[in-house]
Amino acid sequence: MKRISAARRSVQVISLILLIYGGYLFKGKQEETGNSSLLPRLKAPAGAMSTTKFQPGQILWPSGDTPVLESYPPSLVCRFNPKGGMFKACIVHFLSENLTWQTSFKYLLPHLSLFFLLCFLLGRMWCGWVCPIGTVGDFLTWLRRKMNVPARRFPSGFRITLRGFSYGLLSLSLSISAFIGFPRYARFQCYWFLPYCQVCPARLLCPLFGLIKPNWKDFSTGITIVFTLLAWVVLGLFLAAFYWGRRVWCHLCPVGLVNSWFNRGAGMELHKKAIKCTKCGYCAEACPMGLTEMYQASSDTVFNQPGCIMCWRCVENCPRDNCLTVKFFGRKIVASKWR
Amino acid sequence: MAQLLRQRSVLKSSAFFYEALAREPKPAGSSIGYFCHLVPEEIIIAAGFHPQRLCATDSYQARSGEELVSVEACPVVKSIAGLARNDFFRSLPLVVLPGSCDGKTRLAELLSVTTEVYFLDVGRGADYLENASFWAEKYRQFLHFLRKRFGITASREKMLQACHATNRRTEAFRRLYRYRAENPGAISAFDYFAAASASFFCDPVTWTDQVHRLLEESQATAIKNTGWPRLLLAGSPILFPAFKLLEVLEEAHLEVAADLTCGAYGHLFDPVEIDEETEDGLLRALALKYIGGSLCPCFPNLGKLADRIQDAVSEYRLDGVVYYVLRLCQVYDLQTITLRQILKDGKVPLLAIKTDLEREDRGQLITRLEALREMLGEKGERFKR
Ligand code: SF4
Ligand code: SF4
Repeated sequence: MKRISAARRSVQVISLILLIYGGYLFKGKQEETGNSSLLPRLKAPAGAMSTTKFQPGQILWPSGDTPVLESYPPSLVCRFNPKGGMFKACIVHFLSENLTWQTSFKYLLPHLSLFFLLCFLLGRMWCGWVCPIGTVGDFLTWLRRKMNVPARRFPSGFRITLRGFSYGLLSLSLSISAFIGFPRYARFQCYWFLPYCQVCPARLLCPLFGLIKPNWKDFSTGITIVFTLLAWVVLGLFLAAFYWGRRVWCHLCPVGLVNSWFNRGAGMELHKKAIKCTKCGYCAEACPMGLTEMYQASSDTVFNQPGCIMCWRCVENCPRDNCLTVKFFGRKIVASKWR
Repeated sequence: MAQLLRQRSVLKSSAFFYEALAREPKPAGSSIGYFCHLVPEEIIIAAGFHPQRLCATDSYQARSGEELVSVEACPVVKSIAGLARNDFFRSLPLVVLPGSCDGKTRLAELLSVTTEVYFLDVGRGADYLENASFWAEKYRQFLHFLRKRFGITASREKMLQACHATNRRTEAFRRLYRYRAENPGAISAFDYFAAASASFFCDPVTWTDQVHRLLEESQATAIKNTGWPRLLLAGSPILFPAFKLLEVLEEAHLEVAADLTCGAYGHLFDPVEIDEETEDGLLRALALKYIGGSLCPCFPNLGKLADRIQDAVSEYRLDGVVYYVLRLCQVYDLQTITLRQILKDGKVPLLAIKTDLEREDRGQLITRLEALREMLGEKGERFKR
């Protein structure tokens, strides 16, 4: 394996262990009452969802455990981790939950600032290097390669469509969350709380890591039936996308979407020196997100596309020395170099 | 010819290459002949054959070929036609010709009368986005053809092994390339182009070892820097034994420090960068190595050539460019004007030399090159170390 890939794999595996099994590893810190983080602990207001929420058989299931740190880092860390996991949840969960709870902004601000800071430093590196769901997906890709099954390649229009869908998904789940926060509609909370989590594949996958059975199905009412079926479809799509399409899923992921807003202007940058380029296309060939812009760029460019997960596979596959360079606040981290 | 050059070379290890060049080609049933740097050697190796690139520019053979093709055909086409009259050529089980230029396309038809020819269509597009799948598909067809025709497996693992071998060869070549560019006079242009020409039919592993040996010997030898202006040679390929251009350059006291020709740089500089080890991934990677990054003027990629020239000139601090046009080769000839224009804007001195394989115009060439040297000398010591 090449240098960068080896580093990335190691970081991915360590993150996966930390983020998913963090609850086991740092168990001593867990107390239901104490606040293990410097940041404010966000709780449901008294009386919220007092009705039927979280009854057995419900799709959403609170683990009852608190995470080690009460914060929301920019990658898909699921709240449905065994033993609460390392961090609280992903950003979509954070926004949805607090829109419904109508939490006052002053409690959100510290969490948001931390999130923005982390995004500003590393951009979507969180997707490419940390996100445990992405790591699971990369494992599927690895499996496909071992089985000698060719990768599917998608036209750039498909990528843009997926991004559109992602916007739709995010705005829909946030609007629903905001809507059910009003007392008039609070009765919908039992079914529509955390709408994206209901269908998110991480909700089903993360508990499996702790050998805990996730809530696979709930056929008690019409809405839960719809959510159950949707969750299955999404999980199927997720597995298929990662198996055949490398990281094509990450164009659809709403957490990735939020991270992608910070890619441009992030501290981590990908530079191309056009005069070194032979237009061989190896960079575009290697990009798991299917981006082609760094191949196309014919002048010196800072390449921080919203779709780029900063995996730097393009950098390690470029056969021209110093053609592609990664810089962190202007300091060179790594550059393309063939052997 | 090879003997002569061998005696002149200061490095003993270069003997391997000259001997390889001097050897009569063996009629071998296990070789597959091919032309141009657009044919994937790795596939031929994986199929259990020994790839032999037969590209030749030989005035003797060209004259012999004139009887078969037109006198006005390009010298490479004529040389190949002449070569095709050899017994060795006829004994090859298969010859692969890419449809790069029109001459090669017509040759494929002409040669198929006497030898089995596989015509490898590479199209005319040079854009990864539009053509990569097409190239990979053509390579796949070639692989399937070999499998069927010779009843072999040519497995993915074999292909991977072949890629590793050619990548090690590329590693050695890049070392040689950089070493020559950075150490003027250390390894002569003759040795360099002889080594490149020898790589056409040498086993990649042996060749790699020999190049490392050559480099080690050169590093141990005291270098006498001639102080001659250092040039980049671009354009038509310099193929053994047609070293006329190298001779006149030497006589005019100009040094070829680096090249971009398809006989040396184009054949050896680019690696196979394997992204996915699936069969599909390998074929795509090969297509990108051979066609994607190619500087062959049969593709619309003049801007890329200009970039390569400017990059080499600034990276190795060269003094100028000699652009070699093999007379009667249209594609190299026609891009000269545009190239000159681009390089003028980049302030890179360029001398275009149009000549053929005959020796009559040597005196005239030397005069022109001496004028170039004087001009470069006047430009001051801008690029001198
Ligand atoms: S552009 Fe490069 S760094 Fe970004 S996702 Fe693609 S391969 Fe990774
Ligand atoms: S891999 Fe490097 S040389 Fe090839 S097209 Fe991409 S940037 Fe250019």
